[in-house]
Amino acid sequence: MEGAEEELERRSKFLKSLIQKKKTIEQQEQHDHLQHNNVRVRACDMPLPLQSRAFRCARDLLDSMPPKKLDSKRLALTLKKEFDSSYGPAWHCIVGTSFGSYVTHSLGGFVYFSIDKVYVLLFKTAVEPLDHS
Amino acid sequence: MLEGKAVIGETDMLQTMQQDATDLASKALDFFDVTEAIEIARFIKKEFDRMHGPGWQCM
Repeated sequence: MEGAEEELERRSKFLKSLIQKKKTIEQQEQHDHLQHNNVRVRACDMPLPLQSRAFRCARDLLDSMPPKKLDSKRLALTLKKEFDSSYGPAWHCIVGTSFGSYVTHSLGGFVYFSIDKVYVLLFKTAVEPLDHS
Repeated sequence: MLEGKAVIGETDMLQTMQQDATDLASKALDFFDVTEAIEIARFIKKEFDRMHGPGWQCM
């Protein structure tokens, strides 16, 4: 019986170390990805895959714009639509070089980051159904 | 009281609420320095939540 318990303990430790290793690798990849894309996360409550999607979308769009000709409205619209269609309504996006904000967001649906010299606030709010009574 | 008139860019809001928004913005600028953007946004958002129910955002 003791041998079985020891074996379980050993396997548990092994699995924990694997998970830890995977987490470390993911974090390192994320860090490299951010540095490569000139992204700095300022505040965040969002899973890594969603963050990466936001950064990639912003990066691709900024790269497609002529230099020194930032179309912030287009960037905000694209990010908002992308997240609405992929993760459900209602996402809000503010893009600019100088703004302050104070918002209420859904759990796991908030990121504030800078990319190059542009600041992006992307967050989700709960949608209440219209009362037709 | 801050001098100057509020200019509304775009709106989809009751006239009374628009008035509340401009009044609160004016009050916020009396309370805070113009550079304290987050404090101004927080003040307006919290007041609107109190006056018109939760879920307001302010930039």
